[in-house]
Amino acid sequence: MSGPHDGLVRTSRFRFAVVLLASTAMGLGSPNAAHAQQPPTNVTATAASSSRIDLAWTASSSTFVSGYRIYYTNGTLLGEVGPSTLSFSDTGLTAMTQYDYYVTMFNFAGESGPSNTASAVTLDPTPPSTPANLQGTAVSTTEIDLSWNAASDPETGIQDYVVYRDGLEVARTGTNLSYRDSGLTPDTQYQYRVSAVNGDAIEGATSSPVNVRTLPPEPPPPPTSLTATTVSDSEIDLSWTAPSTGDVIGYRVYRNGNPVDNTAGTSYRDSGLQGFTTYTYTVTALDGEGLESEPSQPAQATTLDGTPPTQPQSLSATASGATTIQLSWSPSSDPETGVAVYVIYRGGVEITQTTGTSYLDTGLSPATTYGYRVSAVNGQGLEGQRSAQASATTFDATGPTTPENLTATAVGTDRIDLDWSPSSDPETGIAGYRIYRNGVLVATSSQSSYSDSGLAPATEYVYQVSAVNGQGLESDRSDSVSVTTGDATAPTTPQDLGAVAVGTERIDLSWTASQDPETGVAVYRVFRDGSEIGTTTQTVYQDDGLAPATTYEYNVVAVNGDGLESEASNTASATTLDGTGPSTPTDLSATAAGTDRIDLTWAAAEDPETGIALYRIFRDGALIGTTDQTNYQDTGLSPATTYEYRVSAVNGEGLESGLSEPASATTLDGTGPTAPTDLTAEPVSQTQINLAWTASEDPESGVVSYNVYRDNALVGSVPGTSFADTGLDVGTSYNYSVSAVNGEGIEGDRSDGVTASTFPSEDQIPPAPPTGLRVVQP
Amino acid sequence: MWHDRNSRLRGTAFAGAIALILASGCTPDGPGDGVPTHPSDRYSITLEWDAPTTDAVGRPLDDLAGYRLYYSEDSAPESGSEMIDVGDVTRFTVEGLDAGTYVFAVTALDEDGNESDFSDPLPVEVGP
Repeated sequence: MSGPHDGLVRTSRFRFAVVLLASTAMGLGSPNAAHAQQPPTNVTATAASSSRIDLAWTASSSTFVSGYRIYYTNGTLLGEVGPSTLSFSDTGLTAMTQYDYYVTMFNFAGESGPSNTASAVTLDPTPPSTPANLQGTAVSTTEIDLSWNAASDPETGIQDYVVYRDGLEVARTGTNLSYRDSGLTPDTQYQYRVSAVNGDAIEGATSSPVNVRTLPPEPPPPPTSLTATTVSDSEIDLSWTAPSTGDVIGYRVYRNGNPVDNTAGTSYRDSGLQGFTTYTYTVTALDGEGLESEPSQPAQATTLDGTPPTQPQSLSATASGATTIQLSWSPSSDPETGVAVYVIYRGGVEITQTTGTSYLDTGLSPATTYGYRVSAVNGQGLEGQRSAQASATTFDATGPTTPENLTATAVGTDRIDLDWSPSSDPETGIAGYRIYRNGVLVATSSQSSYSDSGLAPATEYVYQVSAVNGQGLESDRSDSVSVTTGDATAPTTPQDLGAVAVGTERIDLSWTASQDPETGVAVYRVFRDGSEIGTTTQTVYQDDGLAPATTYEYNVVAVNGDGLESEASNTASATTLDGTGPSTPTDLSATAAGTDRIDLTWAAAEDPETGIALYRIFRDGALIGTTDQTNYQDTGLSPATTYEYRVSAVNGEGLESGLSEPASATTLDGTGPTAPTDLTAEPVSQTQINLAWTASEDPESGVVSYNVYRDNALVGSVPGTSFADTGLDVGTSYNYSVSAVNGEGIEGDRSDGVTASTFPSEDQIPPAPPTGLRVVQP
Repeated sequence: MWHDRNSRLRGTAFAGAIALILASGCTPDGPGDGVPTHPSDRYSITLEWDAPTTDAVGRPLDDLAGYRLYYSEDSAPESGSEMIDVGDVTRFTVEGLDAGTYVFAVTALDEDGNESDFSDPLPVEVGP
């Protein structure tokens, strides 16, 4: 904190005498020339720090300026600047000391006189503030990052930060506010402080210390993708992937949690293991510092089963025919993986493998000796020792001849008798016969016949027979023979027998089929009035040659394949048709019932045998309809038209009678008469008015009457063209109109109206005049 | 109309001689003291007559309905004369007459509107 001028600066003010150097310059030129050498003006001096004062001035007014010279007032030249520079910094000054300056201008003609004097006192030298908020963080085992807040120095600013570690300066950072300290010892604590240095190289106080410990050394990551592969019954191969980071120099292999070896590579063969045993492995990584990683994910493997199955014991070989030898043996054992299969050797050559403990060797040559051994193979394909050899010799005998001429006869519902021609065997004779029913051996017989009983009824069975000789050799089976046992149940009863007469001498029958699951329905027997008339395999029957109009009764019985008969069906009866038609309808009448309708009626026809089914109606010779009634309404006709009708009857057999006598009718015309004209009304008394008019016309049905209306009320109906209206009121006016009505009751339009009045009262005689007219005296 | 009363009246001649009668019964209109109150005085007169008992052809009259009073000055009244329907009364006072000579006559009416011939005329002099 002490400067070189310490002791001089604190309180002194140096005064430098102003030395006028103008005498020389002024002697060089005229007043005009002197006037041309103008000094700069407005020179100012400002203390910028404890060691620096800044000067500034206004340019000289001379025409030619080569530059400016700066002097202490004692005449000491401080420096020279070009014509365009109007400032100057005086540095390296003593703190808290006054300095006085002037400035001159110079050009080719010489130097001006001094400017005004400018003074300033250097500032008091103060240290910068202390950096705050020092932070330290270990970023590795050998590095610590530091950071802090900026310090300040209002006078000269911050030039440097100084970093101290454990009291010793380790770095200057310039104006950087952070620092990475490196090359440290892992897992070690360090204490740091920081100070600031200002533009005057004055160092401020150090910050509060911060303690930081470097990170401890780290083991490498564990290996990955560990796999264990069985090699043999005593070896397992391991392989794994090196960790992607860390200074790995080797690996340690653990078996079932215990270290077994170290290795530099990423694979390892573990040997000396026990057979058929499962081992669990992990691997760790080792680095150059002797640090060991966490274990890898475990991997398992099981060594192979090194112990083969035991040797099969008690192998026996027995000839069972001319081409077959039966083998059997006691099972082997393998505690670890069991016996998977046995291998059979014939004459030292493997012929097959089987999982059982017996084997029938076939396809051999007769009368030949064969030697066999058997070995067991365990679950891992390891074959044990072969058994002791066993030998057998195939038979040399030939089998008996095949039975022939097999016959089968059903006896009843549950028994079939078989019979065949005997077989022969020259060598050993016939020991017996084997009977096969439906391919299954069901019996043996020493005879050439057999009675198979206990069978199901109505069932088909297939038989074969073979012969067996004295050596047990069996012949081929005979040809097959099929036979069906008898049926014990009758068919169901035929149902719904119906009989329909379809003519005068024929009746058709039909019924629902009977059922017989065993032998089926063979035939139906048909009975008429108790006597069988025929059979059929169908469920219909046509009975011909009958008498007309005669009633017959029928039954049907079903017969199955065994001849068993069902119950008789229901009785159905029918009557043959009579063949004669009905009588002809009579008394036909036709009546018009409107402009488009004519109603017909007639007397019923008769048919004693089959009755009347319907009537046919003919209009003008054409059939227009039928009805089962004795009347008919013919509609949709044209008005005022005449139609002629006839009717016939049809009986229950469809036979039609002759046509009736015709009847005619004319439909109504539907139009009314014309309106009456020339209506006159003539009063003839006080109570009567006489009307008269001209007749209306109606070409179709004529005018039958006229309706008379008084004041629109019907007051009378008359056949003629006049009307006397009586009983009227005296001296009263009435309005009349008239209409005509035709033969169909249709009323035509009304005539024009006329008005008339009855005569007035009869009293037209005045009273006699009053008499005795006189003046009354008041 | 079946009945034309006017034509019948016209056909009736006033045959009777006019006898001018000084009507002693006339009285001046005005205050009870009889003093005329106007320069031109008005007078009233009360007439009376007898009802007919038969019709014109002598049948009993059973439908008498009323009377009409006719008058005119200086001559017998006719159908166009002054007429008053007096109703079914046989005494009537005519008021507001000027002084002068009037001839009065009466007709009877039945319920069918038939009007009788004039009664005999009655000349009356009206004045103070």
